[in-house]
Amino acid sequence: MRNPYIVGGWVRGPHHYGRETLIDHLLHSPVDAVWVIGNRRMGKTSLLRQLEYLTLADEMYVPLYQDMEGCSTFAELSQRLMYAVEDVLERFRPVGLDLKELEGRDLPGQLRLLRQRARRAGRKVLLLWDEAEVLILAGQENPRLLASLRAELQQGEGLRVIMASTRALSRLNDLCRDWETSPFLFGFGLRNLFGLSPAAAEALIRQTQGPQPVEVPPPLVQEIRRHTNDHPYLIQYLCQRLFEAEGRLRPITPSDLEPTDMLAHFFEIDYRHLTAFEQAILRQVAAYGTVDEVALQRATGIGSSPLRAFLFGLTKLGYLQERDGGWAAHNTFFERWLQAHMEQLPTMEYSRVSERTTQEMLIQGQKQEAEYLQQQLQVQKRNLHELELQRARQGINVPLPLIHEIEHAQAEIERITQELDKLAAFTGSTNLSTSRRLV
Amino acid sequence: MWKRGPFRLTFLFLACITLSMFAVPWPVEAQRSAPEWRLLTTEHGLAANEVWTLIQDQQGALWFGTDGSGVSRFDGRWMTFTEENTAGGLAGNLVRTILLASDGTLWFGTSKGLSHYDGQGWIAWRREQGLPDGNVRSLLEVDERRLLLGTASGAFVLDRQKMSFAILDALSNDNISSLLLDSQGALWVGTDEGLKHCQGPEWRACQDVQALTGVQVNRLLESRDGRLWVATLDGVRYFDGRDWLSLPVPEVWSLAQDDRGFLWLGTNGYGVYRYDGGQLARLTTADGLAANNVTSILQDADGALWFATVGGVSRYDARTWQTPVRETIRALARGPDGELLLGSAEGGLRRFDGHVWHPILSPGDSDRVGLPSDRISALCWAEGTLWVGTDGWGLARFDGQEWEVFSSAGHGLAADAIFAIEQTRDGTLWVGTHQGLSRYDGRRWETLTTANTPGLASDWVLTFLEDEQGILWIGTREGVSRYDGQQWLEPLTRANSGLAANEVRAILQSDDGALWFGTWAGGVSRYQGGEWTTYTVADGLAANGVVAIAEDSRGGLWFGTPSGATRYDGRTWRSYTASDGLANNLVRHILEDDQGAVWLGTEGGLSRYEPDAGLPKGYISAVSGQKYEGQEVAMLSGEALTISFGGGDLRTPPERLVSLCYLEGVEENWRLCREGLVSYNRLAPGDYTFHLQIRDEDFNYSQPVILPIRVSAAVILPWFGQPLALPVPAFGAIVTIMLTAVGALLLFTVSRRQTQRKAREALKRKFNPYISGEPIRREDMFFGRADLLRRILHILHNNSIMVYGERRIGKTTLLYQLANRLREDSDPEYRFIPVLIDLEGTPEAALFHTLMEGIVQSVGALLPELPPLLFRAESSQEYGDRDFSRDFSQLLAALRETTSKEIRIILLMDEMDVIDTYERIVQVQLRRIFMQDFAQNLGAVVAGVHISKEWDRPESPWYNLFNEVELPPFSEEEARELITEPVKGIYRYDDQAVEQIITYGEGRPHRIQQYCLEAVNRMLAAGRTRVTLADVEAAHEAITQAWGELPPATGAPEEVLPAGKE
Repeated sequence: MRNPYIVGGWVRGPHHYGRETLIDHLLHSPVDAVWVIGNRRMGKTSLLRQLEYLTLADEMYVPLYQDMEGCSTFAELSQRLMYAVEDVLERFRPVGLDLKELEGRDLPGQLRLLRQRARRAGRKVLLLWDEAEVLILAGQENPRLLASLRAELQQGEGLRVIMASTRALSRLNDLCRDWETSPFLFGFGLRNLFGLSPAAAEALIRQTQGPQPVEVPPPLVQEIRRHTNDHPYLIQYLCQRLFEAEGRLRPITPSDLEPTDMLAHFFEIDYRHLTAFEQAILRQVAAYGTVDEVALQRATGIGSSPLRAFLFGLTKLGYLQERDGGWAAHNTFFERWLQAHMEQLPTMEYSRVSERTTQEMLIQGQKQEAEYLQQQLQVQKRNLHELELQRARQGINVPLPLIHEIEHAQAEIERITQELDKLAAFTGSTNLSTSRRLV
Repeated sequence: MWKRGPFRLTFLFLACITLSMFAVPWPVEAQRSAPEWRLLTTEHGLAANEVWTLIQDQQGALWFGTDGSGVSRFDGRWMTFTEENTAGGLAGNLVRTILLASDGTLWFGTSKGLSHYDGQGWIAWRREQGLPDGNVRSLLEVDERRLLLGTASGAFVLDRQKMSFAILDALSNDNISSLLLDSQGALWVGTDEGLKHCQGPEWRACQDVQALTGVQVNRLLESRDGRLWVATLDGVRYFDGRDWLSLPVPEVWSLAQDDRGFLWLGTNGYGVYRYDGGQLARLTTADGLAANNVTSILQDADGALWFATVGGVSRYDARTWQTPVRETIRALARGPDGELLLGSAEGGLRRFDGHVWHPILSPGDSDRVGLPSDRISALCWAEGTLWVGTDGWGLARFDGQEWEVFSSAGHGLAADAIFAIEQTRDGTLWVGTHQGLSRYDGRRWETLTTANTPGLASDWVLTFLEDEQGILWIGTREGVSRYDGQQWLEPLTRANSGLAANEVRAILQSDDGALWFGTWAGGVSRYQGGEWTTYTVADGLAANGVVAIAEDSRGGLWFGTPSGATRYDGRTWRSYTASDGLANNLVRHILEDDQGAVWLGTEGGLSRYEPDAGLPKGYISAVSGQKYEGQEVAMLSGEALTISFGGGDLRTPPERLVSLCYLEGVEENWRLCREGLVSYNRLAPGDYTFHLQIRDEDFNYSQPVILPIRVSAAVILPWFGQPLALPVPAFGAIVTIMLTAVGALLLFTVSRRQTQRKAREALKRKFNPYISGEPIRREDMFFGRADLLRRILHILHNNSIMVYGERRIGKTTLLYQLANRLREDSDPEYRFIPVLIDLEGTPEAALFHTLMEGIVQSVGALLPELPPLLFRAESSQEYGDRDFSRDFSQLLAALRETTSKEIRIILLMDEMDVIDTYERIVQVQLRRIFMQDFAQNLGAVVAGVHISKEWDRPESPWYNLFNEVELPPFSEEEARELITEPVKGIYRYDDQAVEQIITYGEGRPHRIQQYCLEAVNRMLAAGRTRVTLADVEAAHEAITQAWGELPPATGAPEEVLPAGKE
């Protein structure tokens, strides 16, 4: 049996595990401009590719994936958009688009054309922008176009944009601090891309969607999950090493958990994306393994409220996890990297994004996260209600798949409820859980 | 009576439906906890995963009877007995039951007969030996003389003295599954059709139990209260003295009662149930059980439960780690009579009665009884008086009758938040706070601060210790203060002592008189006899913040940290965390009780750790590649000594065992030995002893394993022109050996002649297969990287790889070999097309053109006609990534016409370091082609010395699509293979010559080949067919002269190497 784990490359179709709820939200929420934030290797490209894959035969969406990598100006972005359309031109035939019409237009103009054509055909272009950080370079070069791009992206009708990047993109807000209107990213729905759900992580480990599942004893599944904290890249990375040709995984040895040179560089890049305050928090974690909030406050001098906002962000983006009543590194690999680089950490560069922007984005993120979870809770409750009705109609001969669906919905409700409780703890507010109970 | 038939099946089906309807609200699901479980399967050494029965013998070893693969024995090391390897001593490989007789010997009931094992040998009884029915399903020891056998056609009595079988008439036609002799002397017999009760002499009078007529009985048990339990296919039934009652558990296969009186019920498909007399709790595969079909249950001598299942064996240990209190623990104290008391952060005080922690002052009670708050922060229990510190509400004293409260406002206490309390032997009470130190002599309070006491290092007083000399040691945030009863001594700080950090949170004096200081952030410092030693995470501490220290009765030290508790016994370290069963990783207090259990007060609760006492087992499996059978090892000086070893334990998995070893005569002390292997080179003649000990997670050490080694001096004798090493004591036997050798030579004349002929021919044509300065293209000359090559080939269908390694380590060779293998690959799903591309000297502007050129060359032969490509039309300078992508799509479409398999073009790009010289934008463009829609059809293996990971653009680094694989230097074994294999059967090497090349080669394949090439040339020049040490030394001289001084094996600058790559 070949090693089924994929490390580094993007995946879609049966190779893509989990994220169903998020995908459903991205395709069906009322917000037409969403920014998906995720650290390196969290699966952003795969998410966008999966969205493209799932909407290929969609009656409403015309999916358009654009890799923005390597562009530094709006002109280059515009050129790349044309290439992206050219590569999948047949998708645009039903909306009556001629490639030549895109020529000579700037990026907002091109998007306007796409949007108008799609709307006229009763369709919507699903623009999937990968590596959106390059907008920082383009925005520096031409702030005016950045402003009109924002206006175009938030028009809605005929165009839905989902752009993925690391949180470095929040620097855009610093660039447009002096705009009369809101900063660039305000108005975008924010969605954090964090680890997989436990069920998806287990499925990925066992490769249940592949032609031949991998044999993994339950304790080993738990061990892999504990070391990777359900990080999709790390799961694949570790499992690929553990895989044996007989179609099973061998036990983990300590050397398997040492970050390779490349992994160390990813961690370093991620670390450099943090603000000075956030780095200070991680240095405490590096020094003590698990640190409680009081100790963090004392060691970093950050006030209680901003500290919670930072902890929220660091947790959501896969830097930290709650452990034993305190805060610890998100996963074993990162923990080891932090400990091995304890001396270099203070000298590493930190993010150029202002603390103010970071905090604003975090607070906005918390708010949107709560809204998103509330929405998901409603959806799941409705879903459960519907399933219960179906069960009632079946009498005693309830089909097993229906029972599984009900159990899944119950588990999702429980999970979302816990997420809301955690969020309430972060914001220090009881409003969330109260409103949750009123739902 | 119900026979098998539609009616019975219908009933069973309805019963299952009924049970499943009640299944959700009915049993209390046991809490999931992975650390409690250990799984043993064929992967670990079990003969088969389908296990019918298990038992523990008097030596502590476990025996597992399997379904067709014999019996496995496990005492840390696995051993399997089968019909074949016991020469029929085990009657059959399907083992249904095992009995431990009172004399300590074992009896086995198999599908083909009965077997007996007394620790030395096996005896079997089959039909041929007079056993009336070979299918033995159950065994019962009646007395020292008689054994009762339940078989598929009745019961038989074995007279062990006469070795004869007698039929038990009353049970002559029953298919007997289980036998039980109850405490009244009555015999109970479970059969496939019900239960029988036999009484009277020789149990001649047997009666059917009417209530169980027609029910298939699987197992019987008499619980300690004398109650009879019957496991049946329809559930478990028990007799309460008047009626037969049942528990709602389906299809019960096995039964056992543990030492706490809990009943364990193993089922067919529903896992295992625990019945405590009131409630049922269930454990299944979701918790960690090997399979839900549980055939047999056993509690071992350490109290752990073993479940035999059809999917392996599970060990369940809910005893070693327990968490009886789930509150944040702030204080632990031990009273004068050994009784234990705890204070929790918000839940008041609890007292331990030996079994349960009772909330003696639960929330709300405090006001009533006089304690100022439920928020306890410190405890001190001395001379009949209990002192309770609170977190902001002052200090309380309880003298056995009533409470008295002291506060800062009313009594002059330094502050109301108490950190630590200590009563010294002179009766003085010391109280640590964040505003100084309070001293109480029984009449008045005095506050000491840095302002009025120069000897006090800080006003934050965190911990105390009064040592054997009566000196009070005070841990503060700024160092350690000392008070000898009369005066204050100079505080110890990091600046004036070996203290690891100034903030000291715990102090202990160990039995050997040493003082231990737990610091916050610096680890733990030990002070004895003027010497300081510091231990940190690097030594084995869980974290460098040490907040608690304790010593157990076995001499082990315990350290509480925010990342778990660490135990150190002077030899080895081990940290325990939540994954082991600890309630929480932040451990603030540690204390051992009179029973030897260790209590750990953590942020998430109170954990009790009761170490397992079973000893692990260590063993030596091989010495210098030869299986080790327990004999003394004899070897010659100059030979390498390699010892392979292992260890096992019933509780601790092998990967968590710690191995210690030392070679007496060479090493002075025990050391950690990892990876199950130790090697020693060039031992001088003499006697040595190798010692091995294995330590388990509970700090039990195995009996030392001792391996005597005798190293004899080697004598080099000329023998057919070759040197021959012989041991000195064996010199007298040389003639004999020579004669034997002559005999052996005669026997192998034919093959030797062939070899000699080959060698002569090779000599004639100066055959020298080694390659220096060129990559290895031929597969038959490729050695040492087989595993790596296999690993890469296994992931290349959906991954791209970056291979890095120092210069001339074999990267180009690896790429060539990959290309060969991919070309030959006959995967049913993928059609691999390897494309070898050397990027050396490729200008930045021509990168994509070069790549496409390589692809076109490789696919050209596969396509009848190439599609129109931009590559043909544009100059290399104009051709960019976009053009590449378009052309690639065209080629892909054309290739898909030629095969139904998935196309996978693999770019094997050598000298990838060149990309470091390119602009970032070109690097990004390169990544972009791998992000295209056709990514699943395009992969890469890139090789370089050290491809830079520097990245300053905002988007993803160009290299993040790769898997990184290091190409390390050759191991000794790989090097040996590279030296000897190319000339195998033609030329030979002296051992010393091989060893010397390995030494000079330093694992670098190019250098090894260079030495081999040169040495073989020398040999050929001398007309020999054997490479000697002198040849290697001459080669070394020649190579050294050619190079001047040999360049270092690593990091050799490219310009000093000869022309040509690798």
